[in-house]
Amino acid sequence: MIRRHSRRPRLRVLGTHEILIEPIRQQAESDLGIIVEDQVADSMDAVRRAVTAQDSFDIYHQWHTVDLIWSSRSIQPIDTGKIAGWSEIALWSKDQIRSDGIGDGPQGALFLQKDGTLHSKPSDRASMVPTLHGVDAPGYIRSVRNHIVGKEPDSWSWLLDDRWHGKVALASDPSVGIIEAALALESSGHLKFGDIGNLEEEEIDSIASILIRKKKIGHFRGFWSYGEEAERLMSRGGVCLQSIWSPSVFRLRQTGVDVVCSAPVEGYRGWYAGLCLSSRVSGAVLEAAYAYLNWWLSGKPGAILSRQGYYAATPQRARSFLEEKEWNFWYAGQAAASDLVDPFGGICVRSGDIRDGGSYESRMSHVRVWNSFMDEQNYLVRRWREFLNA
Amino acid sequence: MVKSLAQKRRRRPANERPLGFEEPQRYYEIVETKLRSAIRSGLIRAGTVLYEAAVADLFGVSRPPVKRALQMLEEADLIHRLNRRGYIVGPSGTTLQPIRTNLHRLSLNIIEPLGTGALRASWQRIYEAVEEEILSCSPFGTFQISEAILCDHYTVSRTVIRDVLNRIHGRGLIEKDRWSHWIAGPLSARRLDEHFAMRKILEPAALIAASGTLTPEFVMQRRDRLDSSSQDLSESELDHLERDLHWDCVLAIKNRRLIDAIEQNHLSFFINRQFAAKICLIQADPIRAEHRLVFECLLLKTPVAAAAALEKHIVAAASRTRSRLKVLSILKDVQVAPYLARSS
Repeated sequence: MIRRHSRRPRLRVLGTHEILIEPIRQQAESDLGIIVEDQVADSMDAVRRAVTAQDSFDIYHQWHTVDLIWSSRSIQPIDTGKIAGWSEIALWSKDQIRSDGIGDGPQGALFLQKDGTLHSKPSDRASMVPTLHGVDAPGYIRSVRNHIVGKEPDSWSWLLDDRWHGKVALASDPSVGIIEAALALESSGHLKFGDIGNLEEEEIDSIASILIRKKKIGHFRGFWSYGEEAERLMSRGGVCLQSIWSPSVFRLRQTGVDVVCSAPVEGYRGWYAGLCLSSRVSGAVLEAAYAYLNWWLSGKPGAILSRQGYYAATPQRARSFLEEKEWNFWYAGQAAASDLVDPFGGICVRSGDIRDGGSYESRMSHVRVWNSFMDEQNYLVRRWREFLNA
Repeated sequence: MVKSLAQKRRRRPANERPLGFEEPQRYYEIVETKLRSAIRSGLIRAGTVLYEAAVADLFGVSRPPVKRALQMLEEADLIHRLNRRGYIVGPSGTTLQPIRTNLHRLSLNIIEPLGTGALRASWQRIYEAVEEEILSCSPFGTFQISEAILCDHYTVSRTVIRDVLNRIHGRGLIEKDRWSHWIAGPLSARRLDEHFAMRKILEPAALIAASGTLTPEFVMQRRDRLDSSSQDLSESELDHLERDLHWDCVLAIKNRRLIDAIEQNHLSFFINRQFAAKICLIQADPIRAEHRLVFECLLLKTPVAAAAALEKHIVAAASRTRSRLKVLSILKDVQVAPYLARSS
């Protein structure tokens, strides 16, 4: 057994809890005949490792960090000629996503230019291979929402609304957290921003001081770094409204917590994830890494993660690995024809359910702002930490 | 926050000093040592009257250090009080005829210590060290500066520390919060941009002014050093390359005010050095190409073209440095000087 393994290339994949799930790892090993060693961390720890421990991974399944890890020389360019399905990637098809979302959109730092910088102008060398995307919005417990705000339309402003005092949690990731707080303050009319996807120093100061005051008067019940923490806060921690990710919504529903992923009138926070190649990887491992990259666009992993609410970079390829009723629920916005299972086989959707926010097109075309590593990232991280420690 | 500063103060080893920091000799120590040896050797005779004002004038210092030096000599019973403002050389209890002499006629050999810089103002002796320590923390959060611990740390008075901090404040590196605490950081991208914008205006003008004084040999030496540098630059290699252009060439001018104005914006170099030290080696190619163009233009005796090349380099460096500051955002706990406490 050990001898057989030793002949198979080993790939060390760095990424977050929500994407590097066991069914994906097993499927990759079985389809590619390689050993996949997942290195799972929360989003901030993962990027920290990508920057400071460049020898420790071969592939980084990253999340909005491309320009940062390019600056730190952690990754190498990807030859798009070696990526089958590159042209089918949905994120740059205007036909499939009609979004005027601002911030670091999926193409912003995608292509390597002759001067060594990353830009949206196409070239044959890319910084990453997009794999997944989606939209996020606050999640709430249905009965509490009806009691507190009645029939008001869903809004980001609720995150900082006094009516939800003591029942709110936020993501502790500064990049996510600051955008969600900014969306809440913008929609409540407290603050106006020049560019909510690239906040200025004074805007960050204003947000931080409001958040610190809110924290000191007990508005927030908790903060979370990864999905399971968010789930615990809602199932046992008394949190009724929080920033939440799609897999958590469906896992909570399995445990009987009636969580709704809101569809804010202001629009969603968009996100995308993609695979990057470590600058240190070469030889046989590099070949295995390219095989892994291609496998991600084959549709099979996209189909697996579609079952927790994510959208595959190549949706039509994923479709061929989904049952029609699954496609209809997750992508077409139709009622589930029967119970549907998550990537682990648990029933997460009941027959007749309709996905919150509707179809792929209606959700993805309402991105208000993309996740961003802003110009003032260093400043905002420091101020955000002061908020978390206040 | 205050508690942690108090804890730090208790924990600090008595003689802890930053690496390379040389214990300065104080004015009163210099005055006391010189007078003591002059009295013991008989250069200053028993009975000589030492007025504070005359001694201060002799050493070129203010009266307080002289007063302290004379008190020490009195405690050592080498001199005793003559009147409110003066002493007479000799142990107390002796009756001596006061000798009023012009102290400048004595060969006290005080030129030497003045010449070696031992009599530099107290603030000057510690300024660079304090500034470097404050710069080191500023990208990584908001830090409160304790004047009391800073005094202990460098064994200097509050007056000296306030002088230092006010000067650092003048450079825009620290400010006071609403409780009147000195605060450093966090460094914003905008602040960095402002420094680059100033450099873009000032350095090309300085280079044109300096170009006449730069010999071809001087420039060639720097160009050759550039060509032989590594592909990936460490903190010190980067520092050498930057100094070759931005100090040795750009600042080869006589206008002290222009030099000061440019040096006030050198924060940008510091970010790149931190990046090279804490994140990864810096790719030499872009810096090499850009510096080289400036040197080539200088060698061709086309200062305006050299200034244009320098301006282009500063714009490109601003973009690279901004990206590197972003990367520094991932670093959490960095070591800071003991008089700095993270605000929460």
